Amino acid sequence: MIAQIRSEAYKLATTRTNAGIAAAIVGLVSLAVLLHAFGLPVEKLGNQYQQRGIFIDVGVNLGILFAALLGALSITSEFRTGTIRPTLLVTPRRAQVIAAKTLCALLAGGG
Amino acid sequence: MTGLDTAADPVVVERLTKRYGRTTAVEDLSFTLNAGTITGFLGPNGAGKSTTLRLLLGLAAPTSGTAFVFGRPYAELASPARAVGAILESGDFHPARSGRGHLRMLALAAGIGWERVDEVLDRVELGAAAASRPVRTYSMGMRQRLGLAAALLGNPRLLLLDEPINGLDPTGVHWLRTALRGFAADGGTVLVSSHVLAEVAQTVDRVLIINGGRLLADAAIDELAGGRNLEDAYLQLTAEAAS
Repeated sequence: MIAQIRSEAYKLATTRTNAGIAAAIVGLVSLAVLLHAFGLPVEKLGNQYQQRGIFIDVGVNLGILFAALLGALSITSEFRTGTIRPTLLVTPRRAQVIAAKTLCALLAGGG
Repeated sequence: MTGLDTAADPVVVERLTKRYGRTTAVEDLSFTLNAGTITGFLGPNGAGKSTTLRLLLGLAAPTSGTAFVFGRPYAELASPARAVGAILESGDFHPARSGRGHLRMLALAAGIGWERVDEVLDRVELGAAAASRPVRTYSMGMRQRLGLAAALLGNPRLLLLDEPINGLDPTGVHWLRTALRGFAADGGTVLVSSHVLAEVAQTVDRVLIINGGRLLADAAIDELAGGRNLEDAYLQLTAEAAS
């Protein structure tokens, strides 16, 4: 199972689309947080509760959106390109493949 | 070493049937492959060759009957990449990933060290510069070589190859023939499907001919041809089956 996870992580890192999505997550989340921080009037940032709402909600929601995209693409792109066949030949137990993909997309999207 | 049952025949197919809806792709097919042999898998397009290979590799489930490799279903092999290598279609690569990247991700999943990736790239004569380029820039022949490198990655004892000659240049065809013979001489087993009968006649020990999912012939190459060339024997058998 560790082997499958490492393979999935390597897959995420070795195509431009995935690298792009990962960069987009980091980029857009920081942009959104910065825009809120600098663009909102001071009174909206005035108390801790509102700060938390803005930074965590905005950041986490955008992050989740991209993590979901990453997770969906990690399986659909394998079917589109046919890579799913070699993947299943190396790991014929399909549940392991799905579990490794889920975990990697979660880690990549959440991190 | 890999928990492989080497006493069992590498491939045993018994009364194998696969239906997709009303279409029968493979019907009541039985054959056995012995270790150290190269077997040609012949038949017209749509005869069921690829389906049989997919069933052997656990990519599809049989409707009835069994398809065993080394005495068990493929999915139950302890370390499938170290037992069986396969080429299915030349397009099974991510176009943006490099050839080396493709092999590395498979090596990771199979628990094989990355030094083996460079060994197989050498073995199929795919140079370091080519291996670093994305697969979308590869010619058909280079894709076949990469597919073969992936098949050889785990140093398997059985090769299941679907049309590996397609797109290879004459040097590549010669290289593949030599490689398969060497592999069999070391006790490895090969099942290779092809439409290039002249090439098959030069390479294999035995032929299986199927049509409409049914076995038409299972014979040593000299026996089947019986003085005729393989093409004549093939054409006669498939014409008889069609009439």
